[in-house]
Amino acid sequence: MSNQKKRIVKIEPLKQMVNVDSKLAWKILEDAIREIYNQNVSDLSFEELYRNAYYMILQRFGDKLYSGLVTTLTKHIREVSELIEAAQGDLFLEVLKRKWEDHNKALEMIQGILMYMDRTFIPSTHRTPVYQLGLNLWRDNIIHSSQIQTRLLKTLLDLVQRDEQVKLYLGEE
Amino acid sequence: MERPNNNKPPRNTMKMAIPTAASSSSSLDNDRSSGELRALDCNLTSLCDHIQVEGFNSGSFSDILLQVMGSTYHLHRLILSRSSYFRNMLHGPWKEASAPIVTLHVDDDNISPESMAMALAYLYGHHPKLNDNNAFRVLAAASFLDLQDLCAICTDFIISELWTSNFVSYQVFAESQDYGIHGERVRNACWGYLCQSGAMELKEVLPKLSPQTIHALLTSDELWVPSEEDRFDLALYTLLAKGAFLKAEHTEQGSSGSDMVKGNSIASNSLSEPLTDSTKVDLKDDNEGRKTAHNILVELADCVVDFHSEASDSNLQRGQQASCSQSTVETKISCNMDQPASSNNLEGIRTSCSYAELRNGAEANRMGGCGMAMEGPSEESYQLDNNIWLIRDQSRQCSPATASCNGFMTNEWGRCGISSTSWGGRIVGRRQENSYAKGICGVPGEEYDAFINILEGGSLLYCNMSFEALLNVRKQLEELGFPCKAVNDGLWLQMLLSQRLQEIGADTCKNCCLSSMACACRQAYGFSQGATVSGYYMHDHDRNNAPGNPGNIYIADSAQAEGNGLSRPVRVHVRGPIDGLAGIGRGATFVPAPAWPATRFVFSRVPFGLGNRNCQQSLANDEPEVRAELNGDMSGDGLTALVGLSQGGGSSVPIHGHQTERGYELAGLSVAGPSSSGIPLQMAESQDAIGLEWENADSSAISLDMKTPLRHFPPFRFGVEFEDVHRLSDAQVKHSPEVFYAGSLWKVSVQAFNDEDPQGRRTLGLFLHRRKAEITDTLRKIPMYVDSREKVTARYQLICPSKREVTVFGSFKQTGTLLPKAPKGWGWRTALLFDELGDLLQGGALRVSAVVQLV
Repeated sequence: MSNQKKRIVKIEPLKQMVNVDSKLAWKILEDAIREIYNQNVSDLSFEELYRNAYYMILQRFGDKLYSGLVTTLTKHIREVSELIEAAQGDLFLEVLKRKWEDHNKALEMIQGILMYMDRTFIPSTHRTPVYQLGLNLWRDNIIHSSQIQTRLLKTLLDLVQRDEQVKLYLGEE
Repeated sequence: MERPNNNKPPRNTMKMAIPTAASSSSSLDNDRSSGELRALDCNLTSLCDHIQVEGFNSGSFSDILLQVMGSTYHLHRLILSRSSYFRNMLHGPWKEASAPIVTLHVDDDNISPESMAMALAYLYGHHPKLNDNNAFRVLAAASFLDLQDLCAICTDFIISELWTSNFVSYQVFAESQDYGIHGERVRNACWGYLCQSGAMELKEVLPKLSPQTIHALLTSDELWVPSEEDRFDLALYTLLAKGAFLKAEHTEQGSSGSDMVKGNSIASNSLSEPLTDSTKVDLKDDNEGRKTAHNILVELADCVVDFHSEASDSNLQRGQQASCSQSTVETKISCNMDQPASSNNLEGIRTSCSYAELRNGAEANRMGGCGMAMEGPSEESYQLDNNIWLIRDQSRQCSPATASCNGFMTNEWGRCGISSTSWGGRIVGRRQENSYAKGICGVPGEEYDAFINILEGGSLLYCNMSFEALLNVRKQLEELGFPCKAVNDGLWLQMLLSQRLQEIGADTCKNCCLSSMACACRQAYGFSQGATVSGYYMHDHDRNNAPGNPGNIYIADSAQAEGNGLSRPVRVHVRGPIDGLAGIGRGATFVPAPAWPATRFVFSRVPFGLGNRNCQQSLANDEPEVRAELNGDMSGDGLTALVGLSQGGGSSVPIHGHQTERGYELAGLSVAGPSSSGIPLQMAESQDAIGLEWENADSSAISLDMKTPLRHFPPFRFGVEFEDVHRLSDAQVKHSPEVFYAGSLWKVSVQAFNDEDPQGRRTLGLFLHRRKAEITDTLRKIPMYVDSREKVTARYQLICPSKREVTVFGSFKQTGTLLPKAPKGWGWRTALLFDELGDLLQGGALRVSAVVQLV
C-alpha cells in the first residue's frame, strides 16, 4: 500500500515535469502567436520562442505543437473573417487587403519561430509546412467562406464595371 | 566554386551537377586564366584568415555580444546571419533585432559549451575538430543553430566512427530525440550496424537497447544471424541479459528504492510475523515438521491473498496468482518430503528441485534483490528462514540487488513468491505463465511483452528449425514459463511443409524440367488433368509419408478444388478462428492486408514501435497484383542474370560456356519469348486459382491444409559470411556452406566481375543456389525429406546490412523466380561495387542475410 503510494510520488514529478514543460512551452508559443497577430512583436523574444518550439520538437511533442498551431491559426483566421464580414461598403476590400498583408507578415514570423519544425518534424511526418499551412487556412476560411466569396466576387466585378464605365466615359469625351 | 582538375575522371553526372549549382561563377571562371584563379584563391584564403583571426578570435569591430552557456562572444551580425536561426532573429521585428547583447538559453542537454563554441566558430570558417565525445554534441548545437552543413559533417563523422564502444550512446541519442534528417541518418546507420553485427560484435549491447528496438531487430530479416536457432539463442540471451541489466540498474538506484521496500515490508510484516516464527521452528525439524511446514506455507499463501485484499489492490489476477502460488508451494513441499533425512530444509530444497542451479545472472541478481529486502525494519525475525520469501517478494519490484546473496539457496521460494505476489499492482498478461516467467527473468512489463512478442509472436520462425533444435528450444522456453504455443505450431508447420512439398514434387513432371519448360505436362504442376503418376517424382522415401492411394490425391479433376471429399494426409481441422495455426492460410489469400486476422500469428509481421522505419519488409504475399509482376521480375532491369558456377568454386568460370543456355533460359522465362512465354504465368495462375477456390469453399472452417500454397509458409532465413571478399580476383567465386530448407539445400555465392558494370568498375555478384537435398547428408541438421524437383520457384532476398545502409536485393512482392538447376545460381552480377566494399565489410567479412521462400 505504502509502496504504491511512494512509487506514485516518485514517478509523478518526473512525468509532470515533462508535461508541464511541453504545456508551458506551448502556452508561450500560443501567446506569442496571438501577440504576433496583434502586432505586438517588439516585446517578443525570438530566442525564447524558437527555443521552446525547438524543445517541443526535440522531445517529440511535434504532434502537439502542430495541432496546436493549426487550432490557433484557425481560430485567429475565423476572427479575422468575422471582422472582414463586418466591414461596410468600400471598406470591405480595404480590410480584406490589410488583413491579408498582416496575415502574411505574421506567417513569416511564425515560420521563423517554428523553423525547426519545418526542418525536421514536417518532412518526416509528411505534413504541410507552416507557411503553406497558413495560406491554406486563409484560403479555406476566408476566401472560401460563403459570405466573403460572393461579396468579394461582386465587389471586384463592380469595380471592373465601374472602371469600364469610366473608360467609356473618358473615351466618349 | 569549381576548380579545374585534370585528374578528375570524366564523370558525366558530376559535370552536370556542378554548373547548375554554381552556374553564375562557373561561367565566369571559364573566361579566366589559371593565374587569375590563383589570385582569387589567394584572396579568398586571406579573407577567411582575416575573418577567423580578427573576427572570431579577437572579436574586432564586433557589433553584437552573444552570451551563451556561460561564455561571451564578440561577434558580427553579418557573419551570424549565415545561420538562418540568427538571420531570423536579427532580421525580424523581434526584441533581439536591435539589442546589443543577446543571451541564448539552451535546454538541450546534448549541447555543451564547447560544442556551441565550435558551432559558432564554424560560422566563421573554422573547421570543427570532431572526436568521439563531442561529435553528437556539435551535431546538437548545429541542429539548434540550423547549420545544416555542419550537421552533415557531424553525421558523417559519427557514421564513420560508429563502433561497438560508442554504439549505445549514439543509438540512444538518435532514438530518444528528434534531430530530424540527421538524427535519422544516425539512426539508420545504427540500425544497419546492428543488423550486421547484432549477432556477433554487438551482442553485449543488445540488452541495453529499448524493447522496441530489440523486437524490431530480432524480427527483422535484415538481421544477420547464421540460422534461426542462433536467432533464438540471441533472443534468449538478450532476454536473460536484459533482466540482469535491469537489476544492475536497480542497484544503482538502491538508496531511493529501499524506502519503498520498508513501507511494504512493514505491512507484510504485521501479517506474517507469527506464522514465520513458527515456521522457522518447524522447519528445523525433519519430516514430521515438514508436514507442519507445508500446512503453514499454505496458510502463508492464503495470507498473501489476505494481504492483497487488505491493500485494496484491484488486480484481477489476484485470485489466480494466489492459487498458483499455493499449488506451487504444495508441490515443492511434497518434493522435499521425499528426501528422507536432510537436516536442513534449505539443503532439501536445493538438491531436490530441478531449478536449483541458477541458470543465469538475472536470477542471481533477483535473489540478491531479495536479500536486500531483508534490510527492512523487521530484519531479525526473517533472516534465518527462507520461507518468508513468500511474503517478502512483494517488494521484488523495488528491491535493489546486493552482492551478498543468501538468496541463492532459496530460488524455489523466490519463484513461488514472485508468481504469487509480485505483480500486485498491474495486469500483466493473459496467462498465468506469463507472470511466472516474468518473475524469473526479472524483466518488467513493457519489456517483457516485447519478449513475448519475439519468442511467441512470430519474430522467430520456429518451423525452420530442426527437430532437435525445437526440442531444445521448447525445453528452454518451458523452463522460463513461456507457453510454447509458437514452437508447437512451428513443428506442425514443418510437417505440413514437408508434406506439401512432397505432394508438389510428386505432381511435377520429370520430363518437363529435363527437357523443356514448355512441356505440356508441366501443367500438371498446377493440378491439371491428364497427368499420370508414372512420369512423376515419387521416391520410396516419399511413399512412406504419402497417403495410401496416391492416385486419388495427385490426379486431380476440376472438382478437386472444392477440397471437400478428399482425405488428405495431413489436414489441420477447425481450430477455431482464434486458435488456429495463426495467420497461415486463414482465408486471406486475396483479401487485402487489413483483413488478416491480427490475433496470434506464427509468421505475419506487425510493425512494432520505433526504430524500424527502414526495416519492415512487408511480405506482401497476399497482394493481388503479384501475378502481373512475374514479367517485370524476369525481364527486369537487366541485373538479374543466370550464372553458371562450377561447383568446386575458386576457379574461374567460363561464362561463355553457359552463354547459350542462359540465353535460352532468359527467353523461356521472359514474356517476350515466343512460344514458351505463357507457361510460368499460367502455372502461377492455375495455382492461385486453386487457392482461391479453396478459399471460397471453406474459408471459415479450415485454417491450413495440404492445398495451402507454399508461399503461405514462413520464409527461411539464414546468414552467411564471406571472408576477404575484397581479395577476390576476377571471376573468382566463393561459396557459403549449404543449409537445408524445404527439401533442398541452399547456399549463397559471391563472384567478382570486371566486365559487368557499364562504367568498367569491378563488381561483386551475389547469387543464390539451390539443389536437391540428399538423404545421405550428414549435416548437423539432417534433412527429413527431399524436394525432388530439379528446379523450383522461389522468391528470395539477399540483404547486406552495413553502417552505410542496408542493401536489399530482391523483393517479396513478386510471384517468384524459377531458380536454375544446380550448380547454377541466380542473382545479381553487379550487386556491389568493389570500391564500396570497405564500407560494407565487418572485420574483413561480407555478411549476407538471405531470405528464401518457395512459392
